[in-house]
Amino acid sequence: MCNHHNHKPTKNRHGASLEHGEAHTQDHQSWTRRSFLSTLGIGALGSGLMLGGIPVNAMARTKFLNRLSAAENDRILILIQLSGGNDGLNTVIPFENDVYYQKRPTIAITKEQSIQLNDEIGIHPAMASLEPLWGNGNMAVFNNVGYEDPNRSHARATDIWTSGSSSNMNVGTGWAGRYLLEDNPDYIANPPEYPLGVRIGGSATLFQSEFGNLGVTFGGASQFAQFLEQGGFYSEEDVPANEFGRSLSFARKVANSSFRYLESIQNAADNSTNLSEYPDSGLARSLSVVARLVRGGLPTKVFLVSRGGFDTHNNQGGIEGGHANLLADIANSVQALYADLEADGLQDRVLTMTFSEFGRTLDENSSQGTDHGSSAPVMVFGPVNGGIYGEHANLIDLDNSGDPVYEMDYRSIYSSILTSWFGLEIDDTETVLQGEFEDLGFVNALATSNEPGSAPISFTLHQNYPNPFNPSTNISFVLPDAGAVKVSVYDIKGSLIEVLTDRTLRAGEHTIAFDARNLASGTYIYRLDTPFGSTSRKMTLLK
Amino acid sequence: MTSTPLAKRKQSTGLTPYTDNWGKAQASHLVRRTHFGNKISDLNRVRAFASATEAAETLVDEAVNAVLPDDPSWYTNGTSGNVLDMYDVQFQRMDNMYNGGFLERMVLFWSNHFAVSYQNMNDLPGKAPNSYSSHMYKYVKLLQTDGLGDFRELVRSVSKNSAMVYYLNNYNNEAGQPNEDFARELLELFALGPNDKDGNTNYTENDVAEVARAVTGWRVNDANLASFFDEDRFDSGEKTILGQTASYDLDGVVDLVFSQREAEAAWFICNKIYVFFVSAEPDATVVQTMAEYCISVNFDLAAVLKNLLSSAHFYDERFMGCRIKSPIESFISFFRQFEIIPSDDIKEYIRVEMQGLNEELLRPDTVFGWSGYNPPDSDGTPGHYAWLNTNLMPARWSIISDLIYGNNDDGDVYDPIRIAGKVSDPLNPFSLAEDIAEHILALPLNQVGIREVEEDFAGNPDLHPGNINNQGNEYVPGYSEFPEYKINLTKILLGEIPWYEWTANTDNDGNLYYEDYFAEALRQYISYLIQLPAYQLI
Repeated sequence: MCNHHNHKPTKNRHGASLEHGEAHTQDHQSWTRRSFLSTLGIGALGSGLMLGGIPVNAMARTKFLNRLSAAENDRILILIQLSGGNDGLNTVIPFENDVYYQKRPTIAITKEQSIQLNDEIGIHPAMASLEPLWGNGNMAVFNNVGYEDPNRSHARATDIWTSGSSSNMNVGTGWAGRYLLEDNPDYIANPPEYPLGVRIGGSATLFQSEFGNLGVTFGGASQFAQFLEQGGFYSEEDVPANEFGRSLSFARKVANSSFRYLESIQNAADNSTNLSEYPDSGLARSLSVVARLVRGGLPTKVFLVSRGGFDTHNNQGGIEGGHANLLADIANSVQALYADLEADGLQDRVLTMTFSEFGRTLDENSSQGTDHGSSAPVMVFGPVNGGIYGEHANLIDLDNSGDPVYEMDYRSIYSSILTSWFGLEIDDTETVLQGEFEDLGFVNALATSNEPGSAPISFTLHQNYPNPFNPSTNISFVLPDAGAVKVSVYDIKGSLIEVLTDRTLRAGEHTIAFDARNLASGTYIYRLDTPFGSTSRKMTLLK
Repeated sequence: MTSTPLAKRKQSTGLTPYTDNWGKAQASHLVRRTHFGNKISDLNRVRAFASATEAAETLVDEAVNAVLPDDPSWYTNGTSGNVLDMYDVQFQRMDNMYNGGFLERMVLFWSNHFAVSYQNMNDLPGKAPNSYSSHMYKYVKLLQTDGLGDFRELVRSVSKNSAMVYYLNNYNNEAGQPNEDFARELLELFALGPNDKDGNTNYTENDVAEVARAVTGWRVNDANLASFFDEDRFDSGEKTILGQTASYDLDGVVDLVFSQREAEAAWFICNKIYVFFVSAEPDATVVQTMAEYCISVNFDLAAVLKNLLSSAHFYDERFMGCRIKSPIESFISFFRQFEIIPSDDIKEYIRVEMQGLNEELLRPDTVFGWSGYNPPDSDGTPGHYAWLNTNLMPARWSIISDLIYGNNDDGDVYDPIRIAGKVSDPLNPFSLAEDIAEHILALPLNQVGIREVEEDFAGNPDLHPGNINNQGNEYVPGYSEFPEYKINLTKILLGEIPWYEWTANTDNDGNLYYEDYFAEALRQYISYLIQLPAYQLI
């Protein structure tokens, strides 16, 4: 279904080895040309608030109308959290900018050292292993990503990035948590047998939803191995042979078998192995677990892994040293992940995005490191329209702390992923992100069918009106054909409250009133069952 | 938590008083078993006693001398068959469980031992559809006033209580048409049990039939909630019971059972007390010692409980955390641990949830009460295993998670700042993570099975908690001595928050508060802890 890679440059180009140095200038130039094409949209429009990348493909846009259901959409997102605040200026290097070299006397990466992506910017040489991904158009770099009035506390800034909120908002839920609920409106009434999110490290907030945390958490790859070995999170054997030990063992046994997703995770792990080698790092091992679960058929859509240590206040190094090692770990791990996925053609199902709570100061500090900064680049790997999006900060227009002012709102990347990668309707994306953000066009929308007009006319369940309501509201839906229809209302625990209708209805639009005067305030779920499928939505009774 | 190495623990067999160190572990254990979960104020108070003996005696004496609150107006204003009043009786239990201590524990014990279900009384037309709430209230009051007196007298008074007379159909038991219901349960469930400690039968079927004749004549006056003896319905003939023949009535039967089967009766009730308060796997020798003591104090329940709760056996570490919480313990202990005073909405929420799980207070499934509180089955399966299965455990998780996140009619999202300040230093994530876990878990933390977090602490690696600062000390004093579980717990609490960023602020009124994301981190941490299997243990 992902047929948008026809434009990819030929693989295995001669001279594509991504080592820094003059020898590969030719090849760099060829990437540059394509990169330029990719950034044409923004280049033509200038900077400022026009953040869009290439114009959204009009064909892609029409496909939004036929959003695929969760079951049919097998696209996956892996988020790699670079915890601590990645030094974006030494990740994507503005090698033609003198200010960069003035402000960073010891740690700056020279033009010659960097791996040039175009005439102005390059990436840190420690990320040489990303060459195949970049070369094949499977890597997108987003410059100067951030948000208004950035926060420089790790805790708060992480909270902002994972909740997907503005710096003046407090949102208790994560953007992925909200997306997953939006994508699974049936979650409460009819929870799936697999976890909606899997987290191996990283911020728990990402998967937080109004119904609690939707992510299953593993402490690391070795805990995952232990999980498989002992058939759950807890060892039933490793208890003292005494009264409390026996009770504990029993409680663990029940907890292990109560874990709703045990079977789906076990099955996925049993069904697959990694098909290539991974480097010896925690991040790489975490990604190998993700690859195994994806290959094994776990329908989970969002995975979060993380790599800490990016808070490089001291001696962060230049082409070698602490920061270089971190970047190498990211690059080598991502490269290994896609090498594994490519072994059996899974790479087109998996989009991988890095993010960090903030960039670092433009000024090198007195300890040859950098302090908490503002905006920074984001990298996305996989089936993308590879290239560079947005312009690198010019390092002249700076904020009060002397750091770059963001130009691309981080939520426009989320928005593009939700709408184009996951096929969420634009209205729903705006609900998830609590605002309107431009589609950057770096991923192509879900293709449903190659033949125009052949898309199925699906049944639709509208949001009830009014909502919130007291005490009554109307529920409308559209049927493509006549059929037996049942509309039921559930409370948030999934208990059936009332069946509003259960009979055969004609094709077209129908509206049913729901009177809730005997119910308590709260969230309720209404569910439509038809021969064409079932779906649910939430409504809120406010008394 | 101080803990004696496994090898050194003595397997105490008798009930000699506990005279070792009276520390936090012991005080917590006593509070968990005599109250409904650890509440800081109760723990501090109990810990301040000089010894186990003083603590146990004080708690039991307070329960014996407790002044009961005024009766609710619906009770004093006439008889009620309104289910809302029945719910009020349940809500009072929850309030008492939250606020009170040992007395309500005993009410729970007896309401299981002398099981009566309100459901049965409002269901059947011949019973008390218009007064059952009042009968149930009076029944609970009896358990409160007589529950720590002479066991023999308690059996007698409960047998005559109107709710019991209705529940086991003794109101419908008259000469010539004996109804064996109550007679059987008097022997089997209340006073003796079917078998003695060695498995010999305590009575015969003929004894049941004869007791049924002896307990005829009882009726209930719904107007004043009193049971009364109706001579006309009584079978005054001679009965042969436990080998003795006389014209026994109900009082006579109670006297006879306790005189003819004194040792069996003492063993029976002590076994049940042991299972409820110590361990679901009764220790035969200790129960026998308890039974002998019970006889020596003339079935004085207060004395039996003081003796047990101050014994070295009771404080053996293998019993700390060996009982699986019942549903009501699970919810009320959560409230007490986190000091969430149950609002009317929350009480109703809990009542409905417990009803859904078939575990509503004062509505046991059967005359046996709930097997979760009872001694092992005939096949030896500990009774408390009944409290957990793959439906009930996730239900507990989701109910408590709903309480944390306000997904109920109450709607309040839990703010953890107050409890953080009470159990720990709210500014120090290391002690906070450990202290909250220790506060709510009955097991030593190294036994709990904390998730291993492979990733290092977030933030600047140079400021790793174990690094040395300018003064030559670790950034976090004592870090290198921290046990593995403490480091993992702290990482789970902090997530992506660097330890040195963790803080609480002070508002204009001088009160501490957490920024939303710290409060949220704590809520998620608490959600993690309450899903640990060890959290099900008390």
